[in-house]
Amino acid sequence: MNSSVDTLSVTNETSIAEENIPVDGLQKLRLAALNKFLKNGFPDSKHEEWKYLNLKPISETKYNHCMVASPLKASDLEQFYDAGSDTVNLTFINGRYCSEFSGHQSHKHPFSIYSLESKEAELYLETLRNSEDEPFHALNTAFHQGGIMIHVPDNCRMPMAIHLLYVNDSQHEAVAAHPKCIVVAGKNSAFQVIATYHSLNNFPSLTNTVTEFLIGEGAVVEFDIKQNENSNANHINRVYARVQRKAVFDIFTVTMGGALVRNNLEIILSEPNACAHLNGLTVADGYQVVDNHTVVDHASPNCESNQLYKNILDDHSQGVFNGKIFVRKDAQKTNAFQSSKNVLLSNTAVMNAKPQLEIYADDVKCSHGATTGQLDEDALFYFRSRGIGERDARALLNYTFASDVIEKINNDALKSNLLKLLSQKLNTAVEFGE
Amino acid sequence: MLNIKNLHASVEGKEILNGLNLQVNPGEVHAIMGPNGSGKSTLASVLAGREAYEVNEGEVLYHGESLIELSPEDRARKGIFLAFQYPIEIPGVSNANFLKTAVNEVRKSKGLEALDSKDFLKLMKDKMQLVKMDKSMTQRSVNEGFSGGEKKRNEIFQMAMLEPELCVLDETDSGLDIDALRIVSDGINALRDGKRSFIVITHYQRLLDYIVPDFVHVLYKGKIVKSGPKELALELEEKGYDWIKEEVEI
Ligand SMILES: Nc1ncnc2c1ncn2[C@@H]1O[C@H](COP(=O)(O)OP(=O)(O)OP(=O)(O)O)[C@@H](O)[C@H]1O
Ligand SMILES: [Mg+2]
Repeated sequence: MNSSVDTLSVTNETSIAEENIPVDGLQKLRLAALNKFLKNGFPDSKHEEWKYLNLKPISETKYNHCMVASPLKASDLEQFYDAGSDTVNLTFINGRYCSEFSGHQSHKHPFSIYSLESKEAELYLETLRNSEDEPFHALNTAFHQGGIMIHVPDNCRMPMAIHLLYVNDSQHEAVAAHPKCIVVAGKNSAFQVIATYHSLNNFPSLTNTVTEFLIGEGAVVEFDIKQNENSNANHINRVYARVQRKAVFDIFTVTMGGALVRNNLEIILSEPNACAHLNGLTVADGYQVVDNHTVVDHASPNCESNQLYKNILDDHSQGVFNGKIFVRKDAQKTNAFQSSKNVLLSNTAVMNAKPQLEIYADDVKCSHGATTGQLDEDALFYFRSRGIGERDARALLNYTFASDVIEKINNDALKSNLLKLLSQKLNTAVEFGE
Repeated sequence: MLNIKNLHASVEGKEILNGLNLQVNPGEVHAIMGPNGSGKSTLASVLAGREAYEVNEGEVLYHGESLIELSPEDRARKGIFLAFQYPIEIPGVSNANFLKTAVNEVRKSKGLEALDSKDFLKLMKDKMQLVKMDKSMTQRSVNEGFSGGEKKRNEIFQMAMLEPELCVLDETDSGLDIDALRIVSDGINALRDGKRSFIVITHYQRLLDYIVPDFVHVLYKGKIVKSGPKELALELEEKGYDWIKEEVEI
């Protein structure tokens, strides 16, 4: 064995190399990103943005980063239709969009899908280019393959949700999938995008996913993310959104499964009166590590952002919330709020919450707060004094704390799917709720 | 039904109750009065099984069986109910769901089948009438944003739903307006069936005009220092506690 595994490395990693990146029209972008990545390799805990996350499980695993073919059939995918039947399912297997497993039951939908190599996508690939200094984003840019751009036309109000269904098939070898999806919301459009991540793995899997949004003037978009992969799966998720004039972007990140999960959300409120709501729920146990990093950039006046992140951590699990808010010099009349509420169910669970506010404008309303504690003992006693057993009382109180986030999701099928999952994860034995 | 002998109890290492004796028989109403900080709520918490309160000495027997080792939920299932002096707010849990879970847990412990939604709603309707509670309250989160008086009324509503045997009411009258006091008292009286017993903690004689006690006790410095018939409450109302304190100090 090599004794210096500690110092990581890219050098052992045969698959992260120039000869393995896809050959296509995006070659130049890919090479530049790959070189950025290779220069620094995987970040270690000395890196400020990565200090709570031990990346060894990823850096020391030999994943196949080249897109791996999968023999999955349509019938294998049905179990993953978490958002009900009235959705347009867009399925990605090992990062590649599969049109044969995609569409709406009516075979119709009002938006367009383009390959990222298409002329239509070119403009957005350029304009949405962002922080490829971030190592996993650079890796995604180098290796993504079969990604798509979704274009929802102006004024299109779509009642059915778009379900991005991501499956990582690591049944035959360790696979790193690098899906990429760009969503362009036309002016005054209104719709919902749901991303769910699944792994079928006998071998370790890594999902390194990038979703980029351009939210046009007056558009209202909700993006719900469900992360429930198993303990063999690591997950790095990047969401970038540029929110334009009077547009509203709501995002829900619900994390229940996965060994090591990192979410990087970067939202730019780029024009006046834009608005973003970021909601996060993590329910972790065992040795799970779930790290939520958010950046909300108030680049324009009269914008509003609100972040609410909740964690319930049991056993040896770890949670991180790092929320950065920038208020630029011109961004007067900014309202920016942030709150992180956490419950530790064991004394070996750890939560690190860190707000970071950088405010350069003077007419600003900003607040942040973080609380981490045990379950409310008074509430627990109140339940018990009415005859509800301790285990159930704890589970119900945790369930209530967490379900509050899920209840705000605007899709009944996904909501009940998540609530069910929550109740399983928390062992809510008694039937509760309607 | 309840027999407390030489009870010593402490919280955070501080002894609050020191040698309290009280016997409550089926159907009786005992009023407990006493100055602030004398240990009335502590007694209520000890009876309900709050873990922070430690029993150091003495016995608490309920139907001849010691309560001390029992969990709060087991006490509730055996029919002990505490109406809190300061009811807790539980955001996100509706009153109706909370009670449905509680009622069915208590039923389960008695080997009874769970109530289905229809029967539960009917029960709720009956009991709401008893304390004239507005229907909208049952859909709201438990006590969340309730006024002081609404919380107290809700406690008695819960009590009516759970049909306990021994009801401990900790200052249920405080916070109730004059009409509400009468309504809630009528509700409590309606639950007096000759078997159910009550320990009514209060500062004011007024409540005892409505809920007429069989005995009045004065709790002072962790002990019951005086007991008497209902007239004792009148005397206290008139003279305050000084004369009793003096008696004790001598
Ligand atoms: N959790 C606690 N920690 C420390 N001291 C406590 C605690 N609970 C009660 N005490 C103390 O015990 C004493 C008795 O309190 P208790 O609440 O039983 O009084 P009470 O008779 O109900 O008073 P009141 O009439 O004001 O309601 C008080 O001095 C109080 O400060
Ligand atoms: Mg008290």
